[in-house]
Amino acid sequence: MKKTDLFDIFENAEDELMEDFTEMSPEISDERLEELLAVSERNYKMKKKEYERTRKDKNKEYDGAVSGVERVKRPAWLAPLVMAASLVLIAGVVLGSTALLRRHGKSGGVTPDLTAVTTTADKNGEITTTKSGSTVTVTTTKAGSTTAVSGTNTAAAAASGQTDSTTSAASAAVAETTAAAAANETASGEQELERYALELYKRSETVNDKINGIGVSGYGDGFLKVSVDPGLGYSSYDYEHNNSQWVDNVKFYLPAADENFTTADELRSYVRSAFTKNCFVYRWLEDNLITAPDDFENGGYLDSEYIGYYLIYRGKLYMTAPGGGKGSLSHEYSEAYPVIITNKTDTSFTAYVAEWYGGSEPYHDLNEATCAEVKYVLDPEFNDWRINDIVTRPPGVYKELYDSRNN
Amino acid sequence: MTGNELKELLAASPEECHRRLMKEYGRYVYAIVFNKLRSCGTREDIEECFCDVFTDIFLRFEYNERYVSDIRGYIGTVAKHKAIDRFRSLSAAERYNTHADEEELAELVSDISVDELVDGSELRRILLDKIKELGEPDATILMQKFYYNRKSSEIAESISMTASSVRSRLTRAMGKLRIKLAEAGITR
Repeated sequence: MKKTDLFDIFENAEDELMEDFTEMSPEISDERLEELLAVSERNYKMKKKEYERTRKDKNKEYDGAVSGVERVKRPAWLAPLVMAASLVLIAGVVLGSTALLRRHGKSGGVTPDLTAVTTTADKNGEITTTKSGSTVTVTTTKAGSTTAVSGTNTAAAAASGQTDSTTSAASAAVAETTAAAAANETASGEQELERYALELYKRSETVNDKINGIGVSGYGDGFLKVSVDPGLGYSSYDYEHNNSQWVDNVKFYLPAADENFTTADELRSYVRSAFTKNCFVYRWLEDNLITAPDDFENGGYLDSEYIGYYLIYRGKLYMTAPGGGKGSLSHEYSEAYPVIITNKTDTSFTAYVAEWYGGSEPYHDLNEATCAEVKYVLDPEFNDWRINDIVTRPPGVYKELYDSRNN
Repeated sequence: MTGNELKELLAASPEECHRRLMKEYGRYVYAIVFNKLRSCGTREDIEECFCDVFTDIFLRFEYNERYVSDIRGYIGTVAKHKAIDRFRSLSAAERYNTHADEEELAELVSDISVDELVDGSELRRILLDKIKELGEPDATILMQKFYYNRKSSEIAESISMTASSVRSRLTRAMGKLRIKLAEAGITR
């Protein structure tokens, strides 16, 4: 006869014993409680966004519901008229542009606008800072260690084929300005790392949103319908009938066809472009990448262990069908409150990011901000930084660091 | 705090409301989640599930008025359902590990076993009563050690004792419990 150890019999106990188990359970220290709270808070904010969006979509759908068919007649002469008008418009743009370039050539040069700056980071961790009128390329292979800087000048006048002395002088002036700017940026490796950390953090937000179905660029044809255990409490839009109503205990999946991933491996790679394998986002992905059993047929029932955000069915990746349109409240960042980096070693650092949820203007009031504590590690698989953890902290945490840095 | 008081706090400061919810019901949720996942989850799995429960509770508390009137009841239900879900997904993986450094203490309970055919519900009640009869802090030490799988050093820290004192109390308490269980007809 099978025997059970004494204390194992407490497992799966009746509800009424829980009070006693609670009294004799280990205390949760304040520090641990704050850590667990931070995780729950972050998940709560993400889910709340999704919930609000779904609710809004649902209301919108019902408010805007119409019935019947409206017949629209277009006169036959409308198409040629629109084509003719388009040609006139295009010709006007071409002539106007040519005239404008000639006039600049005569007036003796171009003053490049050095204020418009865009910074992008590709998946290899390379950051390119582009300024209109001139280009400064700052390539960071491993943030904070090796920084190669090059400056090139591409004045618009040169692009138009003119090489007179006035233009050359203007170009030299621009090159000088650019070189000075580049020198400043080289001198400030710390600033580059801050910028890089912010770009990677922004990317992580996009990745995180997208794997949760927010901002997905497209889905494939067809769908999977799955009946689920009523105990899970699932409700979905009825995708089978044009999302016209809610249905209980049913889940719909659509083939993944986002620009970044259509297969499970591509999805993993996409998440790894921002996060480590230990990060909760990647672990969430692995928990939610579930392969349907071989005997599952579309429309059938799946146990709760097979229910996740993604379903791999006959080798194809499916993701949970969105309930209407998708969107999210993005974060806003203030140039006045840059990323603050602490605890930097060769293989890790922590960045504190002040962020404002869209709508919580003004974006310079720290009391309205939240502080993200983002832990970066050097991921040996890429020899590049990846995010290992994100914890939401009260704004006071950022403020304290900011004050101590500026005093 | 009552559900209504928490709701008022939610309007003033959601984060503070969530903190109070977790402080007030954290151990209750932990006890429920632990009870379901003890056999198949690591401490990390249990804490992850704990966080999932509170994420769910924060949302439901905000959007569902029913949760305000009987918050403890609903929290218990959410915790149980979440833990059962997690149990299902974890039991396939069998990722459970014991603390290897304390294996010798496991011998204290290994010589008391019970037949699975004995009514589990009644047995649980008897065992819990006998443990409580040991008095404090022995009852808590015993439960935290053998049920919650805490290290002696962790228990010692929480009740301001040394780890060696905890170990000697455990040995004595198990001896007493063995006699009490024998009196109740539960033997090897």
